[in-house]
Amino acid sequence: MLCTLLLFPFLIQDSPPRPAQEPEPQSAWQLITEKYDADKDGKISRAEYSKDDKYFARLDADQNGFIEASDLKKLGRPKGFRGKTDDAKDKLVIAEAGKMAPDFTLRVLEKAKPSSAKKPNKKVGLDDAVKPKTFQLSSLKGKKPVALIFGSYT
Amino acid sequence: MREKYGKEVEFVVVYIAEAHAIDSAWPMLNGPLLEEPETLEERIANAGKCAVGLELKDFLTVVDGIDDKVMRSYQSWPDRLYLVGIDGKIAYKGGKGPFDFKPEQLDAAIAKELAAIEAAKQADPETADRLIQLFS
Repeated sequence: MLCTLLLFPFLIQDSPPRPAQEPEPQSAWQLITEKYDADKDGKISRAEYSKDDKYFARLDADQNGFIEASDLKKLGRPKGFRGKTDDAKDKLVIAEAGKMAPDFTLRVLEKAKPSSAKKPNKKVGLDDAVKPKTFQLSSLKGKKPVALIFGSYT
Repeated sequence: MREKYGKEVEFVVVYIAEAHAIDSAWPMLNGPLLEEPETLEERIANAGKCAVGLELKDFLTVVDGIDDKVMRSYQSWPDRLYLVGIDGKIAYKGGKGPFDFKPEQLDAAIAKELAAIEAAKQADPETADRLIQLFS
């Protein structure tokens, strides 16, 4: 829930406001109908909804086989953790203070670069490590501390 | 904080599973309206919207896989702060957000880590030269 960052603006560097890339939906119902209501009949059948059954079941609150506007008004009741629970099977190393940080390599969110963007300084090398297409945590070991900010938009 | 420490510390946003997607177990309809992603590309699209909406363009943002492995390894859902020291060890593990999401604790941990690095530089000039080269 990176919205938390809105409460702590000093985490975010000052930068000019940027327009959204596409119009944001004004309601959850608008988002759902624009994406899935192919026949425009004001409700979404299982055939129209392309995602997994578990998501359909969550949205079809009255369980009548259709997602309708009235269903979305009933959302909000906790029904259990959404995350995976097969940590042991995956042999995950759990991050603990004082222990080596579990290493990872993840996709970097690439941003549109203006045509006037400054070319990276090839002499330093670290610039290349900062904005690769993938980022490996251990690549900065011995070079810089790393602050990890976990979260999502919602 | 990034302005304060950005030259000495790498700030990395790790985009993980949605906290309150509209089709999640805890939907929230009064914030950003997003669906739970089923593919990495969908999660990357959500991360892109987040980067625009929260003006995170100056942060390095990485996106967890759809298997949520990094999120689970760092026990970081729905949000959490960490500091990984220059030695690769976890110097600070924040509490789970949103209630224990404490940037001021991260700030203190960074100050402590940088002080330790500075002390090491004073004690070992050879290492100091190497670090200065790396940071310049």
